[in-house]
Amino acid sequence: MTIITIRIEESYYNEILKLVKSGEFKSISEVVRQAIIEFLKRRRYPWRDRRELREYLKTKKKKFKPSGEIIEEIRGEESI
Amino acid sequence: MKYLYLEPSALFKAYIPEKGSDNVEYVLQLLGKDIMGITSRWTILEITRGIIKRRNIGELTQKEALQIINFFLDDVKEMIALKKLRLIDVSRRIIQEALNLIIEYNLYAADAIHVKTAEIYGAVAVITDDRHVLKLKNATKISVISVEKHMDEFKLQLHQLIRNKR
Repeated sequence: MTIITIRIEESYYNEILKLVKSGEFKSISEVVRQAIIEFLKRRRYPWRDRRELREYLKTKKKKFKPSGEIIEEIRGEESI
Repeated sequence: MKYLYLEPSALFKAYIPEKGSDNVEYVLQLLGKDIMGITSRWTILEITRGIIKRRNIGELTQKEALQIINFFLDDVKEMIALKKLRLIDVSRRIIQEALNLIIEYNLYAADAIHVKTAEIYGAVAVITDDRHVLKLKNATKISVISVEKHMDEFKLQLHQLIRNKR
């Protein structure tokens, strides 16, 4: 991992501190890491998380084969 | 730390809307401080192949398939960084011990690798789907549970297993 140093507004810093003190995050670094990951994801995909991805696919109104069936077919690809 | 083994038939459901998706999401949200998800590194290939297969049969466009593959890989990377998930390499020991499962239980090579990885790493349970519960439960002493159960029943069974594992 690479170390970065950032300057942020005091008010943002205090909000982050509250999140750490509440126990939701282990450290300030963890909050910043999570925020960067979410920011990059938002720019890369039409959905932010797994739940949004599933909702996006539901709007396609397609019937998806059960994943277990797909996986079983893949495992069978190599068999005689 | 207690480990839950995420077999691909279950983990794949986190990225496709279908029966069991909410239960897989519940498991993934549970991971972190005391419970870690583990899966074979082989899972990455199986799910990626599964997404391409969904493109081949017309469920996904080429663009969607590539976006979902990249999202899946990023999501796994994030879960690893947050210490929620660990990928287990397919080692010589896993292969050696998986051999017996193939011979004795007529399992596919991948089924045997998943079961052996879960056993060697002391998983509390193998989380999978209905189809694979039937196939895998005879081949291992580890509890094999399906995410396709009703959510209340699934949660009850999962928490009982986590509580009872010393």
